[in-house]
Amino acid sequence: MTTYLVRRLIYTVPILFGVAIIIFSLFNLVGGDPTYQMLGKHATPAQIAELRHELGLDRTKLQQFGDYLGQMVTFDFGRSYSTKQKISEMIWSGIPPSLSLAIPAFIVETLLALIIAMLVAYFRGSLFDRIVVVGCVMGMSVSALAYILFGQYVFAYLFGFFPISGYDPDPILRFKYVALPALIWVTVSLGINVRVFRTFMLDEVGQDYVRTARAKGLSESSTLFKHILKNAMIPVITYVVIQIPFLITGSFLLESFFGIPGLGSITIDAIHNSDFPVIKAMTTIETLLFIFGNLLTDALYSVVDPRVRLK
Amino acid sequence: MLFKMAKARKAGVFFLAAAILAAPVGVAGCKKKRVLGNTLRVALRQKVRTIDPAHGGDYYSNVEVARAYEGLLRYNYLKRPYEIEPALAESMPEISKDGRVYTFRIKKGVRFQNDGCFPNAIGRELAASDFVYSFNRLLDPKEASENKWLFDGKVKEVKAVDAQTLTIRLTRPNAVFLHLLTMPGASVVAREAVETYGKDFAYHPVGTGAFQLDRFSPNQIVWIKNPSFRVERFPADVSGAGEDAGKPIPFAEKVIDDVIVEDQPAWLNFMQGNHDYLMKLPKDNVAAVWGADHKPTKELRDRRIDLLAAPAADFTYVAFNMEDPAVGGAKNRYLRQAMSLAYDEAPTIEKFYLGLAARAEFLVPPGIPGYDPSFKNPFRAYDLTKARAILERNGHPEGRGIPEITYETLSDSTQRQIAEYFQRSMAQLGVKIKISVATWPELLSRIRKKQPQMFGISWLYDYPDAENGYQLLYGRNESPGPNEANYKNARYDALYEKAAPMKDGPERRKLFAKMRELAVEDVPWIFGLHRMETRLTHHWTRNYKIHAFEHNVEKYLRVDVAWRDAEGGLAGR
Repeated sequence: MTTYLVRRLIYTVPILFGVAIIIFSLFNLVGGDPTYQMLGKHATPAQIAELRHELGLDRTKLQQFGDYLGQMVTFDFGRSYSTKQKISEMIWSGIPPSLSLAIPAFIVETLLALIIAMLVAYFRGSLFDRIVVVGCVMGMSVSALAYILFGQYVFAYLFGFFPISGYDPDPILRFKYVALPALIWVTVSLGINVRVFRTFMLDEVGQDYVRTARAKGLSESSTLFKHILKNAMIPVITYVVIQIPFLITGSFLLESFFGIPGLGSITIDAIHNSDFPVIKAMTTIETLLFIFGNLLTDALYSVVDPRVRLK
Repeated sequence: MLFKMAKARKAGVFFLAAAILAAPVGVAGCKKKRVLGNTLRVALRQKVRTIDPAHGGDYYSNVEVARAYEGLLRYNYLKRPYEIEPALAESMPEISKDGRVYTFRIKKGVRFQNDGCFPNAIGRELAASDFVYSFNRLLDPKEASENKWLFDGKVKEVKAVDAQTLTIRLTRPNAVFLHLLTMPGASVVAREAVETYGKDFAYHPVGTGAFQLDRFSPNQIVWIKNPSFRVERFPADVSGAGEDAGKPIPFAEKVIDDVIVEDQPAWLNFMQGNHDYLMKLPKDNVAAVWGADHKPTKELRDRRIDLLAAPAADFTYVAFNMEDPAVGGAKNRYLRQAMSLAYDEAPTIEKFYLGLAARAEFLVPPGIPGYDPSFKNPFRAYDLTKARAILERNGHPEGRGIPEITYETLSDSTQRQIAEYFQRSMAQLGVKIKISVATWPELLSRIRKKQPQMFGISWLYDYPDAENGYQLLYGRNESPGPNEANYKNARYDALYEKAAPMKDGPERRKLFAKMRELAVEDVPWIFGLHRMETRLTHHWTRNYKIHAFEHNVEKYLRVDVAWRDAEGGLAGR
């Protein structure tokens, strides 16, 4: 497995290089010139030239690309064009708020989806199963924005159960502020995850070993919890694990609407301000997380399923 | 038994699920309204990029800059028309006869706030040399300041004659120079702070202003009253000063700025009483406060919320790129005139602004000296028949033979809808419009490179002087400068060069009127509208007066704390 992982790590180099070309082209060749926005409405050609020199934008595209590759290797993306803050500091300060929202929401949502999926698998074909499936489809069809607007208005404004928006850096008090966005996160993701987990469960229900268990007289609940669940956990775990790295990057919409200063919010601000260094840093991190998530998933396959051998 | 167990297990699973779901409600439900005392709570509608005067180019950054910093001059908070008065200057400056040398006496006893960058962390006294340092810092190419334009090309030399005397020598007389000195970018900073904090100075403000930074985070900025702030008083010699006339300011001990970018949370927080006033009324909530009868709604009156409205110092317009062969130049003047006549602004004002705007006849908005309410732009009165006749006279009956024109605008829904309305209006004339949308950076980039054929945009005045509008059509200011239409008219330019250094008065207004005639005839823009600035204030918030150029209104605001507390207090953190 070590050889396999090392080989996969080596494969990430050309992937990262390709991604670097795409990101660089998108922001340096297609997007607008950031100096115009940075200098505002009174900019003179001389000031624009000065700032372009200061930011290194007057260097050749090849030199700029070389700089970017250097930043990817050293993880030093410099300072934000917009706020002049060190990007590394911005990222480190954005991770805790993002995780404060994402981790509880992710755990609750995954557990809940698993429980509901097991129930509907147990009662498959019943009215309960149909109601849950219809409910899931309806839940999936509603935009996340609608949940946010409704939740904020009804639960925070009308009933006063939650603060409307905000965040507290205090490790305990912050949960007061992330409770409602976390609930919305759970609601938004529940439908799709219940359906996916239900499918994993039902895939197992049709297997020969289940038929054998039933033929041997095992109760339906024993078959479900002792055999089906154990085998269904293989795709469930891989499905869940691949999402974990992305929890760090937060949620664009939720963080923006609830004023949570996480990485999602930082990314949105960077896009609004043409803050290319921050956008490049965040895109690079997302790419690395994606590659890492895939690698982790592959590795976990062999851990949870002894039939899988990584070579 | 087995059935019972299965049932119990099932019930247990449901209970567990319900408990997991309900847990956050329990945590949040413990919320108790906490009385914050003499604290102002404000919603900022954009992220604050910096609290460095050299880089605060946008409105919200300037709001924060003005909390901590001050300049030589400021506008009186209550007087209208806007009137400049001394801030850190002892009095208004002496100006040499040739209008090139300004001599200021600096107020004595003004101290920078206490900070670790000073010996023993005690703020030192302000000196004229601090202004020399601050102004030269703006001009330093290494600083790449967004506010460099304030002095660039205008100031020849800044000199501290002694500790309290400052002279500023201009390259040529400049009628608006005093206005420039009121802007947050022209605030004074301490060299020690800049050198101690380096690039992080952006979040370590050390000024002489009314407030001192207590805590900065991207979503909340907390200020406390600067304990070493000198005695400043609420304006007294002005009508409308009210019961607080002559009282020491600031009234608030603390200001909490919550950064709330999205409309709904800003609106709901205000309506729940978490913020003392609301700026930038969300478009979707205008109907809740402003009825179709153009009066505040009953709900608003019942809740004793005041709606303040005053003309914003701005105007919107559709600019033609005068260098574009299809729409620019003298040969296409007839087309621009016809298009201007065919565009009716009235439905836009009703649909998008519920009447909280007025048609713009020209580039001087109401409230700016030189605004002429009697002036009617001959090409802005909606007249489709006349517009069609112009096209027919020039060989394009029903718009035949006119190539399709691309209209560029921002990608947000309101701007798209306005663009679609423009497209429909031009279709009535027979002129085909293709809409192209872009993000602000992309659109700005294209405008600066003279690429669009025409585009929708607006201008917010930097200072209350008509020159700030007229310079937008000055030939030498062509893109990437503020003359984004790239309009060039030698007569207009000559008149501008004559009028710009003059003080506002009949002679200058006569020159401006001639320039107006030229620009109106050439139609480099189709004028849109002047928006109204709106604020909502709770009845416990006192002294709010909309001021287009004062960024730190919190200095003047007083909260009737007892009243606010009696109504349940302010939700606190």
